[in-house]
Order: sequence, then structure tokens, then C-alpha cells
Amino acid sequence: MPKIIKKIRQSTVVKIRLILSLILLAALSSLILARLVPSGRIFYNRDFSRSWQFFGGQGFIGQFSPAERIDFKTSDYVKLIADPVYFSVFTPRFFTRARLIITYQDYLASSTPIVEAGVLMDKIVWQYQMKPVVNKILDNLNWPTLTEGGLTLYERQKPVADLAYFIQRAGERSDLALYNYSLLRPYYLDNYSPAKSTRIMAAGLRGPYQFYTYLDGEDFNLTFWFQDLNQNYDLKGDGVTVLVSDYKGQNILTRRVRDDGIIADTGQLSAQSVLAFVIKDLPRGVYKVEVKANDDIVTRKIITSQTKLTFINKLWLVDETVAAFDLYTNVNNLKATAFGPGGEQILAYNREPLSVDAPYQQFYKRVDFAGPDHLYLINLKPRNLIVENNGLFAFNQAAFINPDFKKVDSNWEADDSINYILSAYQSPTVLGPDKIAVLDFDLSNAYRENHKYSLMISIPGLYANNQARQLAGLAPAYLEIKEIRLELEGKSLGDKLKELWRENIKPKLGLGVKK
Amino acid sequence: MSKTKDISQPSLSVIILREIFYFSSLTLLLFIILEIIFPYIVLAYFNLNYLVALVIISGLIKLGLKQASSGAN
Repeated sequence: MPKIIKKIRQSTVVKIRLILSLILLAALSSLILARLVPSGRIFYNRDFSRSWQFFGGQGFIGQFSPAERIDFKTSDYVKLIADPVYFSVFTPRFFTRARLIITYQDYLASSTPIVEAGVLMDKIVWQYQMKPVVNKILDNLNWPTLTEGGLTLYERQKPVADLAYFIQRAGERSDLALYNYSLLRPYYLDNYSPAKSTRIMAAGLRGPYQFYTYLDGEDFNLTFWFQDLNQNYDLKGDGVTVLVSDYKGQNILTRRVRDDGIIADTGQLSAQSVLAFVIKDLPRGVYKVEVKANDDIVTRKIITSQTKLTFINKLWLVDETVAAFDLYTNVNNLKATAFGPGGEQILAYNREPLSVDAPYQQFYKRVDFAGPDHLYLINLKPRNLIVENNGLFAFNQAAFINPDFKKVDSNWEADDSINYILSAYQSPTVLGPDKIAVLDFDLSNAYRENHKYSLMISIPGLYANNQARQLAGLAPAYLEIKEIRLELEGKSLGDKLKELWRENIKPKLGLGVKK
Repeated sequence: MSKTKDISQPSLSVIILREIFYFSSLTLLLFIILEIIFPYIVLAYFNLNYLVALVIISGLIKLGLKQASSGAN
């Protein structure tokens, strides 16, 4: 009898092992498939009402940060009470396109009409590819519209019959504004006279920056003086790349300056290195210069014979050689941050004080709109101070140039000079109290580190609005995020294998080569 | 001759526990190796602490039952 029992027990063990092995095999296969994504398509979902996940997994869509801009406690979901907020998405492989679907409830004030989301494209210049979640300015605009192929033209006056023809001739218009749409146009200045000599046009700029300049019948010459502060440890070194492109965005020149060889955070100032170039016989028009550098690099001066030099969106000013100076901007809002002790000050913006009284905090001011072509004066001490807005900056009025179309953004002020607005914007879908926004991104050149894409949600003006509400004893305005879904698309396993065959194996075998 | 119980053969529950212990240990090892090769591949879906707990608990119960059966011997 014991032998029979032993045989029965052995067959039971075999059965148990077989079942458990199949379970293990199924689990491993699922994980490998989830890693490879053979179909090229996958989606990830996060319901913010649930703080737990099945089987305790960490999920793919990270939590929002920084914590002081988020309210987790007073709602089942997540409330965004300041901006911008960031979150990351882990992906097991590269993808080329993403569709971000945000389900939310809107408890924002009328002074924050725009919500946008974006994916990080360049970590050095901190550039995001932004797309609209909602633009209440356009939603509430009672102008007739013409929609074709994902584009909407809002028409204040004369209706347009052919949108494609309108876009073809749009470069000539001065009464057109844009939202979420890029329109390239040649921009020429009447009565322009080139300078006969070079001079210092800007000094004391830290980190990356971009500027427009203009040429007409002159050489394009720029000389940069760079210095490495070596305050941060960077294994990749602190090199600098300067890119020049024309109004179509086509690259004309790329120059690089190598790191001084010190990658550790020694604080040792490097000798100044010079990058200079001259380009002759360029057609007249606007050119964009992009300086890609990390925060350890200071541009001590920019010397050029070009008379127009207008900086785009942000400047980090670190010029100790002057007590104070004037800066000009074309928009009626300003954010200022003292990056470290010594930067605190009371600066004057359009002759109104803006107190920057603590380091590492952003201070915001909005002044009365003074017209579409007005330049607002900023008087400040350039001691480790970051100034930024959605407009342009120049170190003197004569150097100012604005080749861009007006944008219907959070600082939009309606004026009679605009008769048409062209946008690639779709209002969110309303589902009861919820709204659902669908945003499409091109991930081909998106920045990805440690298998993660970085995303952000921006609600311009929310922080300042809530500061004012707090002073008035009101509850903060917020955007309540209920769910985020990310649908990713990339090459399938079949496509990859075909590519491998076509590009690597077939040439080596000499197949498909015509003799 | 009197019939005697064959006390050298483990009971079915001990066998199942033993197999669970082996299975969970092997699974934990494989998941850790997979996690080293492809970071986050397991952790995104599954908290390995649950598996560690299963290994420990099944191991302890198996040990306890083994000691109890040795004591009975």
C-alpha cells in the first residue's frame, strides 16, 4: 500500500509542478511581451482616485511634483494649485507618437484661461513641446470660424473662402494672431541701416538662451566670450553649442566650444574662451541664434555689428560689473526669481515695483496693457536674477525686433489690430462635470532618460492668482486631475525586423544590388 | 501483524507548501534577474515584497511542519 501511496504522491507533485511552471512561464512571457511591445502600440493609465495598484505595482505614470503645487488631501483626486507641475512616464522602449488623454474638472479663475501640457524635448534649454488642453479665450470668442483639416480660422471681419489660400498669403498680414500653430514668414525692416562697427550688445548671461537678430546688406558676425563656473558636477562636461538658423528654421551654422576639462564642482573659474564667426552674403531677414549650455556656463559678453538683438522668453542675468541696468520687454507680465542669496531686490517694471525678497521663489507681476507695440521698461540689478515671460527682451529699445506673429496666450489682450486668429486647437470634450482633453505629441526627438519621458502641465498665472486669493481669504483655484491615459505608438516588431533585414543583413548578403 | 502508519511520507499539505516555497523562490530569483536586465519591467506591474513575503512565510511554515513531524518521529 505504501508504494501505491508513494506513486500517487509523486504524480501529485508532478501535477503541482506542472501547473506552477505554466503559471511562471505565462508570467515571464507576459513581462517580456510588455517589454518588447511587439505590436508597437500600448497604453498606460492612471486613475488618481486610487492610491493603490493591483499586485502593488508602481505603474507607468508617475506622481505629480513638486509637492507644494499639489493638493492630495482635500479631494479623492489630485488638485493642481500652482504651476507648472511635472510628471514622468516610464516606457519600456522608444515610441514615435503619443496621445495624452486628460480627464479633469476645472475650478480655475477667469484670469487663468489657458491650460497646456507638454513633453520635454531638450533638457539643456528646458524646451517642451506644448499642446493645448483648453484655451477659454478661443472657446469664448464669438467670431465666425472656418475649420479645415484640423485648423480653425477665427474671423472678426471679412470671411475667408479658401483657408489654404489664406495661409499661403498669411505671411503678409499684420492683423493675424496664432495659437498652437507655427507660421514661418520672411520679416523685413524698412529704413534699416547696418552698423559700421562692432560693440558689446549683451553681457552677463548664465545658462542657455536664444535670440533673434537681423541682417540686411552686412556680414553676420558674432563673438561670444564664455566662462565656466564649475559649480556643478557634470560627467558630460560643460561644453557650449551655438546654432544659427534662418526664418524657416533651417540650420546655417553650428559651432561648439569644448569643456575646460574640469567636470567636478570645484568652483574654479575657467579662463574665458572665445567663439567667433563671420558669415558673408546671407540674404536679408531675421535669424535665430541658439546658445545651448548648462547652468555652469556664463556668457560674459556678446560682441557683434548687428544692431538688433532680442532675447526669447528668458534671461538669467549675472553681470557684476554694473550696479543696475535697463531691460525692455514687449509683454505686460514678468516672472522674476533670485537664484541664490544676493539676487533679492526690488526691481521696477513699467515703473511699478516688483519685490523679489526671497531666493529660489518665483515672483510675478502683471501691469496694465499699454498697446500691442509698447515696450515695457524693467530696471533691475543683474545679480543672479532670472527674468522670464512669454515675450521678448532687449538690452535697449533700438535693439528690439519682434518677427513673431501675436499669440493668443495667457497674456492675450484683445485689441482692434487683430482680425484673424489661426489655431490648431480643439476644445476639450465635456462629459457631465468632467472634461476630456486629447493631445497628440511627436516623440521622435523627445528627451528620454532612464527609460522615462518627462511631461508637464502648465497653467500660466495660477500661482499668482492663488497668492492673491489667499490674501483675500479665498480658497485656491485649481485643476482637478481625475485620470491620465497615455497611448503610445512606435515601430512594431515586424517593422523592426524588416528594417534590420533591409539595412543590415540584405546589403551584407549583396541582395537587391543592381549590377 | 499490525498495520503501521508510514510516517516517513509527508502529507499533501506539506507537499503543496514545499512546492509553493520552491516556486516562489525560483520566481523571485527570476524576477530579480529580469529586473536587473530590464529595469522596472517587474516593478511596474508587481510589488516584489509580496513574493518575498510568500517565500518567507511558506519557508517558515514548511520548517515548522518538518520540525513537528520530526518531533512526532
